[in-house]
Amino acid sequence: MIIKNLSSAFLLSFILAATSFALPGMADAKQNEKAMEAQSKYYQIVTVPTPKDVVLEVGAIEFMPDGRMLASSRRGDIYTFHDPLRSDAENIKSTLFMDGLHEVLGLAYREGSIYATQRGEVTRLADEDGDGLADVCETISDKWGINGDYHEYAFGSKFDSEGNIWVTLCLTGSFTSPNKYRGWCVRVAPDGTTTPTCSGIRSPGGMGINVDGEVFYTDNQGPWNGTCGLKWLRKGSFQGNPSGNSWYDETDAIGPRPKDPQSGSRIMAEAKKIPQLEPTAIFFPYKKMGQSASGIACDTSDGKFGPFKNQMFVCDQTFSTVMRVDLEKVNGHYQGACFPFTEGFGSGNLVVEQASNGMMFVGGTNRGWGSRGKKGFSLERLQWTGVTPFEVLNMKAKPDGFELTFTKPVDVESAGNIESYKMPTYTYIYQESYGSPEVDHVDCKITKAVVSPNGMSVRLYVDKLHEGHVHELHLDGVRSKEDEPLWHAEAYYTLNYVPESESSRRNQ
Amino acid sequence: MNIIPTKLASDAYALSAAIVILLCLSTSVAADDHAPIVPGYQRFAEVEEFTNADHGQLLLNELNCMSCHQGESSWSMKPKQAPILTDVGSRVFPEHFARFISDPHTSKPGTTMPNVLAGKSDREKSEIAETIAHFLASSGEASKQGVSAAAIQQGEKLYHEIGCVACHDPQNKDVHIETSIPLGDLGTKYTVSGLTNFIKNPLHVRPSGRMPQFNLDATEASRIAAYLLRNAVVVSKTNFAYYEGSWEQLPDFDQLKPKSTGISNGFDLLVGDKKDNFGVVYTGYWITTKNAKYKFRLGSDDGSRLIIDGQTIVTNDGIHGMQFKEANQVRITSGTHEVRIEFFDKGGGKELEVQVFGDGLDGVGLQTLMQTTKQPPASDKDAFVLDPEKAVAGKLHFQDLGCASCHEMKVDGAVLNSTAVAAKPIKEVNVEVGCLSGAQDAPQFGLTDHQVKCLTAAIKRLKNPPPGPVNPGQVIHEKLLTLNCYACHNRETNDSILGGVVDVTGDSYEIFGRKEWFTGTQIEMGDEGQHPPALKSAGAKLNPQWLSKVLNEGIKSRPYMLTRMPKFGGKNVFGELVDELIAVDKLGQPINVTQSEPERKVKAHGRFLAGEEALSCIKCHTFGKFKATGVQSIDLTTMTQRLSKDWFQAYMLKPSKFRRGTRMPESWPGGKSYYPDMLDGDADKQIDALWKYLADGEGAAKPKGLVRAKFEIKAVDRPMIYRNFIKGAGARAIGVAYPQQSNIAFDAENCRMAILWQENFIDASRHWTGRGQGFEAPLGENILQLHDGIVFSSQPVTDQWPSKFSVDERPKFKGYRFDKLRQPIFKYVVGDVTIEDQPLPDVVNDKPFIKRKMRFSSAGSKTISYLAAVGNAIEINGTVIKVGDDYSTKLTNVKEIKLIKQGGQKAAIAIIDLSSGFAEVEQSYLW
Repeated sequence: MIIKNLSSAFLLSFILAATSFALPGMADAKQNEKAMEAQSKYYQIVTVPTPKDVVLEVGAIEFMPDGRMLASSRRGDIYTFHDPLRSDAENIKSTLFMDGLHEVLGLAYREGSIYATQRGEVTRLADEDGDGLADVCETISDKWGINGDYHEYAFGSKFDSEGNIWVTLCLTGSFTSPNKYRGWCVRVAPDGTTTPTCSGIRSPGGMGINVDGEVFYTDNQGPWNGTCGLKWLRKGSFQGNPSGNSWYDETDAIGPRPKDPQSGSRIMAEAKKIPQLEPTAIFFPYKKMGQSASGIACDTSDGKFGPFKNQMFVCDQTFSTVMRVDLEKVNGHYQGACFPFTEGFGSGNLVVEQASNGMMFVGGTNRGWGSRGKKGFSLERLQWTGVTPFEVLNMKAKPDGFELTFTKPVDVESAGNIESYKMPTYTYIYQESYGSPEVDHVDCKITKAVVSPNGMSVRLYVDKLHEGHVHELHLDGVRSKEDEPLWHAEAYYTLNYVPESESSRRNQ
Repeated sequence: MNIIPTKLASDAYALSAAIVILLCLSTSVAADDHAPIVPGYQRFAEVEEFTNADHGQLLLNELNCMSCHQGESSWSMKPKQAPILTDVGSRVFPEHFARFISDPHTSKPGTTMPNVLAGKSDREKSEIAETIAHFLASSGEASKQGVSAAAIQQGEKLYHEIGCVACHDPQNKDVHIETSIPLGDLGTKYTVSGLTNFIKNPLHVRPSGRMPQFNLDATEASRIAAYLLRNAVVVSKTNFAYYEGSWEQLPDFDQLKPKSTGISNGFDLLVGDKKDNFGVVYTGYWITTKNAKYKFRLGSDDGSRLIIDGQTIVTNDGIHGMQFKEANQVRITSGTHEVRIEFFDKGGGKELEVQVFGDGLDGVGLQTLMQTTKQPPASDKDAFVLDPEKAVAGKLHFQDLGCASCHEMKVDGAVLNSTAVAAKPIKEVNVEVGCLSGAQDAPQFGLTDHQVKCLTAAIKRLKNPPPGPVNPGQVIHEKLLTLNCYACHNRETNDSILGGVVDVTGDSYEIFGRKEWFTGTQIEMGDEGQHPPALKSAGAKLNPQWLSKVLNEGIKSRPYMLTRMPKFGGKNVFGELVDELIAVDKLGQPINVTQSEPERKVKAHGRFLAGEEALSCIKCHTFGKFKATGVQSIDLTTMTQRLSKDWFQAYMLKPSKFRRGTRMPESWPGGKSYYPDMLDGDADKQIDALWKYLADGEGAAKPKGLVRAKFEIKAVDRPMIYRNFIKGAGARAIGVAYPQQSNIAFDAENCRMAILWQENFIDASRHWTGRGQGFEAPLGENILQLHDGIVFSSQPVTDQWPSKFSVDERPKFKGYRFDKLRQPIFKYVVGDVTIEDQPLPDVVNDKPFIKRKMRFSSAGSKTISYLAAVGNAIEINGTVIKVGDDYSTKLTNVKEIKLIKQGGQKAAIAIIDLSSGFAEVEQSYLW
């Protein structure tokens, strides 16, 4: 093999915009304070008291039909929170339900029992004598291997519509799969039937079910993950990291082993060659949106949590944030946009779950992985104040651009001006080594911005869409009809597939 | 020089795409396989923004044109000095000289050495080359040596790990990279000690630092040399006699009978069956024509002795780890010497090494000088014999052909001068005649057309130099280019980014193709843990003393990164690159911080910030000898020693501004502090506090969370359960502490009782601090570890416990429920038999003990076998099984207890009668 001489401006093709070394000083700090002030106008973070002297490193949350809430911890405890929605949150009481478990990262309620996903198994817990403490701890499934590596986490979902818990299994050391089904997702039925469902997982951070009943998980930057992402666990799919694919030898549940992807390629180039490969639905650009994506919740409260009906909310552990995600299905695959949402949580967010009244409960810890929130652990309520922020509500791909809808009518002049928008795009190297920089930068030129008659949406036309690229939209110039700026003036759309136009569909 | 015009920015993508196509179509600048390789030229030759004159200037320097053509180059770096040839005869085989001199480009494609004999007839060519060879060979004696197979293997690893592959081709993969500096055929050139010494200190014979020094110890250098010479050298052989026995001191081997004898590869310790409790005597002969004094270092684990000609030279006896003993100098005369090394190992590690120093040997292994028989090595009839007359003639040629213009060569302490006809000064050179014209009577460099074009442009520019002072940024660039720093580091300035293991766009991976040889031990750190740091603002980042130290001495601040920063030699970098970097990289206004609190309080704030309750720096950075709780990044206690304070202040506010894609978080996002009540909530003051605290280095009070606090779990009024990785009970262990001060650990993977112990239960801090890596052992006392493996069999068992169980035969854990006292009752299934197993605290003679109640219910099986105890000595006494002096266990209500075997041990199995469908067995343990 001969490797060509590196030469030419190829190496130099990455040209930097001249950046000055001005230090972020008071101006930034003020901006930051202003952002937090704006946030509290729309959403409030309220501390939920945790039991005295207990380190509750929240790993999972579940609500019981009677209104109680359970929160598990990485230390293996589960506590019952009584009346968790009461307005005077400081008076919420909690009692022990179970202890001595192994790193509980999933809780799901079904027919009087709680199903906890521990490191080594899915376990049914029940309080048969009604004293508040679980007295049954039944192993439902332990059909996967663990060998004592701390990275061998198991994240469990809620029950899906068919009554299964989905469990994503982190790779050993987050790199290899010496033990059965590391790097896979399995479905566990209450009778213990365990079905391998997806391969290709690296290091999951949380699980959630969307409004269609489809199961998603977050996977973190590392080998084969250029950055963190939200991924759709389509049954039978390969999620992109081939380290655990030797286990196809042990099961025919999802068909034959897919072809190994080529390192150094791009994910959409490989998706064309590997039909099982499910491209990451949403990339969370590293350090722009966060650094470790984790828990997932879907807003099914029908407006009780604000205007973002049926959208997904995803935590970032490092940034101590909750991000917002708007998905759509194009060519049979989920993709869409992520938006900054709320920040300033107490610790490293691992979990977000929505209560019946729309409140989101957010909990987590920064043990082992640092976070902006400096507390060792935290449990908080995120509550909508009832004030609607001016935000991009949806961002949908069109064959020749995007359609944006807003939470409030826009100012026609600024929203119709193409100068109000900027849209750089880039993607990630799909490779075996750790992470990827943003690559293949190319700017989308906005050619036209057409405001709808009711002022609630804007149709953006661009010179060219770039398949497989994150389209990073900046709309700092857009004002609402009341002349407010956007609460968050950026969005990141992962354009895996460009929708076909009506006419080209008809022609086929 | 504006390296890259910024106007290209928006077209970057299109441009790079276009160039990929171009690359495939255009002929390469290095199309001529024999053209001299200059890495800085190869790397950037096609970059139009570098003018041809720039490339040419680099070539003028690297081809050392000014050693013949007097004059100053416009390049800021001194020209590359040709290798110093004084003593070359002791490191290079004489056969190499004639071959290389008569046709350097065929002998070593890519060499920068010109062919100075091109215009001569073939006969003249070989005659002159031969006489010069005799002259060079007369400067020393090159002798053949063997190497050990282990050294070759270790050398392979080092070569591909420490950074050799940054400039040279990898040798473990069939790859040729065009920026690679050729190694040539090293096997026919260098002696083992010659190459070892060169690798150990290349600056000694090549002072210009193009080949830097890696601060290797003698062993590492000899291993790399052994590897590079692997195809030419003989793996050394010795005779061995292998003995078995357990000794504290070296025995008198002559009184013992060897278990086996034979020929081994060097001092191979694994010649026998045993890995402990053995001894080996190695014998062989050292045949030498020299008469010299040597020093021997004998290293071993455990004891050893070196004997030459019946005389004990050095003894390193007793049981110990690897340690060296040094002998006084010994004279070894010309002739045949009998060498004997005695060695024994009792247990643990085992190593043996005998190093020889003196007469040009610098720590080579003694085995490489030995042979198995007294038979002198077959004399080679073609062997080189020095002819003093030819050497005299060669010396004259060396001087009149101009060799002495480039190569320093001392004879009898005086440097030889060149007597060649003076070449024209560089500014007066006419490129139409001479080296660049292809004229036969001029030295031939094998240049490509492009290289000639570049050199011509450079000479033209020297004649009419552009006005104005040299831009310091350009000076830095010239130095990084010349020393090939760009192979490892990228440097980003306001308008460009050059070099690095990978391009920041990621697009150049396939083109450079060296990425896989840049590795590290902390994979989770990604490229940051494997690729040498970016040089953006390097002059501002490192304080001047440290920057000088790094460039002048080489450094290894990042233990997780296997590539090492080598030493380029003080005069090549010091006072030039250092000063320029400092001048160019200077940050804006320095931040002046005035603290209102006394220094001791300021440091206390710094300590708080570094600790686990605040910024948790210790999660990812080591602190002196203390490990971090997550990845093991660069040591916090060295920060103030290495860094400039101004840079630290700026970096902490926004790390990604200086390190693209870094995992280092922004701890004052937007300049805002998480701690508004500390030091006025002022980010600058808080960073200053951190700096002042870290300035105390290892002497600073340890940050909070560095030493993990104990989390002892105690059963006070009810049993406590701890499911985690418990040492001795597996990854699915369930520990139970009973308030009665007895504890058990149940292995849910194999459904077996794994450990019983008394008093303190367990310390959870390993698992509840940081990421929680590893297995934790019981905390208390009287810890009884029970036998591992599967202990129930629904299949009939004869005299040997099965070693394998099918998936269906394996027990299946079903969890547990609690009784009224919250004592767990485990449940598991073996075939069609369900077992409920309840350990219970018991007290015997006021001491805590354990008994188990096991309830069996069968859906068909009539019996089940239970492996009750395993040990070297087992006595069955009715219902009591005694396992040596270790413990005894009593079983009630079993049909039969039988003595069988398990692996190499004895075992007691209990047969449980399930004919009624149920059985209730009680087992108690006394230990």
